[in-house]
Amino acid sequence: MAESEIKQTSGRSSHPPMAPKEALANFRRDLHAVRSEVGKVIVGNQEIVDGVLTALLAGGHALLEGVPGLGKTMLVRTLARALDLAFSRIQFTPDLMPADILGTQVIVEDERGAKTFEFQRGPIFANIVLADEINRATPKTQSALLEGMQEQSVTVAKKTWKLEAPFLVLATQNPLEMEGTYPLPEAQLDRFFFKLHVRFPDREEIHAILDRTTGVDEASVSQVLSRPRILELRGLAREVPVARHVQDFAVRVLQATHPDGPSAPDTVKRFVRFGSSPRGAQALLLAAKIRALIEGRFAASADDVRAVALPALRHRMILNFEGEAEGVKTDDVLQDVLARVKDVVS
Amino acid sequence: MTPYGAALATVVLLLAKSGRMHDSAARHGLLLAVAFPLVGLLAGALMRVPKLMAAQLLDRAHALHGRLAIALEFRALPEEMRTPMMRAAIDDAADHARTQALSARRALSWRWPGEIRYAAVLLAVMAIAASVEFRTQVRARPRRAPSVHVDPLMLAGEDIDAFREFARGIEQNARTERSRQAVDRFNRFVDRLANRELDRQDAYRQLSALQADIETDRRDDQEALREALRQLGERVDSESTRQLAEALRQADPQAAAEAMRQLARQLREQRTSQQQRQEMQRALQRATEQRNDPAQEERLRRAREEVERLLRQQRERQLNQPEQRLLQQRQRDLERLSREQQRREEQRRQLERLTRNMSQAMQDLLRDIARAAGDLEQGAEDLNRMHQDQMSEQQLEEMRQALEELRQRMREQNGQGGEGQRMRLERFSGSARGGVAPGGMQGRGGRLVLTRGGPGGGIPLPNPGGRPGQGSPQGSDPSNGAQAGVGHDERIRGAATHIDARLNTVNVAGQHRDGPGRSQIIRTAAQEGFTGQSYRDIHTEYWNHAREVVHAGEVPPGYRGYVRRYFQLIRPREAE
Repeated sequence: MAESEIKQTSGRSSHPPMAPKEALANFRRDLHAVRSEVGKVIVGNQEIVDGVLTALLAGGHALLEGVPGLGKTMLVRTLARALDLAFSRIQFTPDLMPADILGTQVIVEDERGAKTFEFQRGPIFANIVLADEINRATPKTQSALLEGMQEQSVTVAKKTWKLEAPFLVLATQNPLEMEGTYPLPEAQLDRFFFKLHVRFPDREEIHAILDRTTGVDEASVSQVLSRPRILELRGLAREVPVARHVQDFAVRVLQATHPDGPSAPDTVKRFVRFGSSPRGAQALLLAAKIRALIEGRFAASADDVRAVALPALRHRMILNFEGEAEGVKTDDVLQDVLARVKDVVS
Repeated sequence: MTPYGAALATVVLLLAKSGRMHDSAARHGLLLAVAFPLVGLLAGALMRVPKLMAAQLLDRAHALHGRLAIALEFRALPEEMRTPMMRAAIDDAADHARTQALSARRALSWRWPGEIRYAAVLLAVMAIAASVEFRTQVRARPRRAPSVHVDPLMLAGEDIDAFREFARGIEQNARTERSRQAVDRFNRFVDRLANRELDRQDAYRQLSALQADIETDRRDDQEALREALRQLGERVDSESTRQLAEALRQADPQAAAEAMRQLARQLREQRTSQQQRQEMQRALQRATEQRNDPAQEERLRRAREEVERLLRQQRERQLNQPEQRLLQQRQRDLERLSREQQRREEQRRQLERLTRNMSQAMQDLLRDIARAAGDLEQGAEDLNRMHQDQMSEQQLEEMRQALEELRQRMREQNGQGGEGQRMRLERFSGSARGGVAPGGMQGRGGRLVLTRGGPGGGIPLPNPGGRPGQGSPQGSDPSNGAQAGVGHDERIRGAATHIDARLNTVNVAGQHRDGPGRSQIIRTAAQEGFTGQSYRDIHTEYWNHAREVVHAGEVPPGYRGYVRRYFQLIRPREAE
């Protein structure tokens, strides 16, 4: 791997380190630019945009859940344009094969007429991959994508191809048509950094959508951020320090999601079968760091942890039968956890 | 701490109100309960807030998003461990601290503690507990009268029964209200003695009062009636009414009634002449003239005035002792004169009927002799009633005697050695009845042997060598009379009397007839419980004879009581 690739992968710029204040200011400026650019096309859903950006900067992946027609695909495509990142969309169907995602070996004849196998890269080889309705594909096909998400590489015919950083998978699930689908198992859901709920737009937002999409003029999105810059931002995010008491708070929140954890509220004890894994704590801290930067602070606080707790943990908690039967939402349980766990050290 | 204090206060209140905790302990408990929140307040006020916590509270109060707390933690790290971002964070926090007026008061603003709900509930419970009334019955200890040792006057049960029987007999024959009242008073006195409600002083006092009442009633009434009859006899005296007048002067209403009936018969049989009838009429007229006793009325009036005067003086000022005594004396005199007046009025009313009949007879003598005879017969009936009233006098006299005897019993059984006396009497009575006497004394065979012949025979009398009333310690062998009459009791007045018993041999011829014989009745009297008409007749006969003997002086004074006592103990009973 070339040195530039290594540096790009690690997110460290070859330029001299910037002063924190300046770095923070630039971070905020760039992020604001992306938001603004995306906002030209996408109406509302600011938290979704921020969530996707957070996942991108954290090096994670996001699961978007919402009914069809809310602009999920449009959002991802717009984001890809604004970031000048390669974008691919995979519509998952039940007959989708792993090779359809990863790529396949094809026989290629050269000019001499010799036939060789050549790997044709699949749609996964992009920076931002939209896996639409991932729950419609078979688990075998899902695992092909998930392996790429985890390893940041693809292995085909005993050969490994690295996926270019940043690599962001935005998977979607249709909460309405779950029958006949293959919902992602909990172990696979845990690989997603965030789970974002795309809500239905309100009245004003629908008006705005209609104004923008049914008129003559179509909004265009310009690139505002480059790939290297994204990697720099990613590196900066990791440099954000976390105080011990804030980290302790994140750990206590994580522990409280377990029924047998200390200070677990009654709702957890009653409705949760299994709480979040340590990946949830990683997501909490990384997301808190990024949020701190977005908010203009140099360190992540307990407030940041609280703010990112829901998207970071909602998909990592497994409800028991009673919880499922009573229609308990993990969001409600997490709210209870956050209310119970004190951030003030006594 | 407040919930704990409220809970403790509630418990203490409940315990104190229910009486399970003393007031002093309750006060201490309540003070401790009040101390709980105060201690909590003090502890909270004095407790040092950790720096980190203080920084976090400031961050929260001023919306610093944890800057100060984070900066504080980074500041605690060694310099070499601080990254540029950490330094930047510290600087950022410092900038914010400078620009914002950080207020510790705002950071530690009052917040209601989480357990305030529990404290509020407990305080409400405490308020309810404070208002709950625990009703406890407080038994007021009856005020004890100054303990006076009442030494009740004791009387043997046998005596009590005997007097009650006597009173029953009088009551059955009581003709007048006066005699019934007297019996009623007597019965009440005996009941109180039986219930041991009277000590010696009370008993003798009440006995004396009872005797005095009966004596007064008897004497006054008797005197008044006698006087009235005498006066009537004086007025009615004439040739034809001589017998009547004489009987009246003798104050013998029975004889006077007979005389009046005789006059009536003479009139009916027309055995009187015109002159005799006129004489009779004049005599009757004299008899029926109202005679007042002005002297008596004057005395009564004067006594009343005197008492009123003294009472007026008493109201106006305090009387001195002589005046007090005079007032009491006059009140007693007034009472006596009033009583006399009342009795005289009563007698006058009684004589009024008689004099009315006599007046009617006087008027009818001129017109209708038969009717006049009828009037005289009615007059005779009035005199008969007076005679019956005199009979009640006899009953009163008997009561007086019974009271005297009661006084004698009381004296005997409550003096020195009275307890022993009563026990001996009990044994004596048991032996007399032939049953088991108290103390386990067994009468010999349960038989009484009453003979007048043969040496050694005779009534088993108590050993005169012992105290008076002392019964024989063993059931005396009736065949051994050697102990009788031996010894001398110092308390008996007079010198010892040597009994010179002369025994006469009497041959009694038995007679065959139906029913048990006399001796058999006597022998089986105790077994039969002294019941039966046959026994009653025998007892009466023997008792009358014994009384004659006693009154005749043939029995020494010291032994008369024994004789009376004996016959009292073996008196006839009613069959149950």
